[in-house]
Amino acid sequence: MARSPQDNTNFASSMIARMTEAVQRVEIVTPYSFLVHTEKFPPARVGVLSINKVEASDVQRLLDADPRVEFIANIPKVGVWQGSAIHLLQEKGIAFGPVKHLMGAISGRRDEEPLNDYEHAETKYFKTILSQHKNLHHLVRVTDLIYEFHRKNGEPLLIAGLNDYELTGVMIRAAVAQHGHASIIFATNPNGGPTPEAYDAANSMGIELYDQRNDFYRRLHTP
Amino acid sequence: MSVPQLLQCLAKVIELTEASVSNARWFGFGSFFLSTKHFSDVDLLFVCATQEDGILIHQLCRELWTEWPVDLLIMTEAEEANTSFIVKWGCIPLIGGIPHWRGSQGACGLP
Repeated sequence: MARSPQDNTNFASSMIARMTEAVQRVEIVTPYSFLVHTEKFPPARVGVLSINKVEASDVQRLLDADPRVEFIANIPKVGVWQGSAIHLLQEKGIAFGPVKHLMGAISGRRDEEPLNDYEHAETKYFKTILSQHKNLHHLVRVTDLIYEFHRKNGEPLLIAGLNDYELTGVMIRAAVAQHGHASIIFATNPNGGPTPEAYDAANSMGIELYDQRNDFYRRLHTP
Repeated sequence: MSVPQLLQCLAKVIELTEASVSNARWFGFGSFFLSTKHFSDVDLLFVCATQEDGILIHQLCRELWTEWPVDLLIMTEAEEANTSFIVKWGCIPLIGGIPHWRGSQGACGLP
């Protein structure tokens, strides 16, 4: 079912309009974008996509329609942001994520700054963990969940961070089907963890699965 | 694109999967089903006997998770039993097409 950009923008903006504690009203300004009016802060300008795999060309198409957006929201929760799209968004200084993250950005707003710098807590947490490792040379983002971890000592590793509260066998397989193969998966949700079936599924695909930071960190030192 | 269309898509998927996998159970939880204000995504749980069934279902309901703000969790019965997920999260059973809770509770009852 192909929907028009206007349909997508109407739907996403209606979700935001229901946040009545934080939002006064929404105003659609282009088929791809809308303004979020709040009592305390200047309006936030939001772009909307609805794509299973977001490429740089999708981001560019939206920016051609509205170059002033601060945040681009993608309607499918599990939509993949490809590295090329993330690179372009970072270059332009635009925040991105599913509608849930947009809601977090709006409700968590504490000052007049635009939403451009917003990063969801789980993304920030995983990036921090990777960035703080002593064996890191540099990181390359492959998708929103997968990083190429280039090491000072050792071959590069493809590492995925999955934040599912209950990480099951089927969800491991689904993540690999959506995002592509990883050599290591780190379960980042401290309140939950992988099921025994998740370990079996990862193992059967040749993927190492960790849920303890110490074990994961040790692995990044191992050739 | 609207909440009623989302519910229609969900009902279609439930019907399709119930015909394809025996002893399959769908549940809803989270803000869409339990909060009367807004929702950030539609949390769905599918419980089935085997991982193979789960993978089949994940493919069959592709339209649901590629086009809507849906967070789909698929568990085997053993995984659900070990985690008590249904009780822990107050999951609501979704049975036969348009679920019975429609309009009675949750953000899903909104126009």
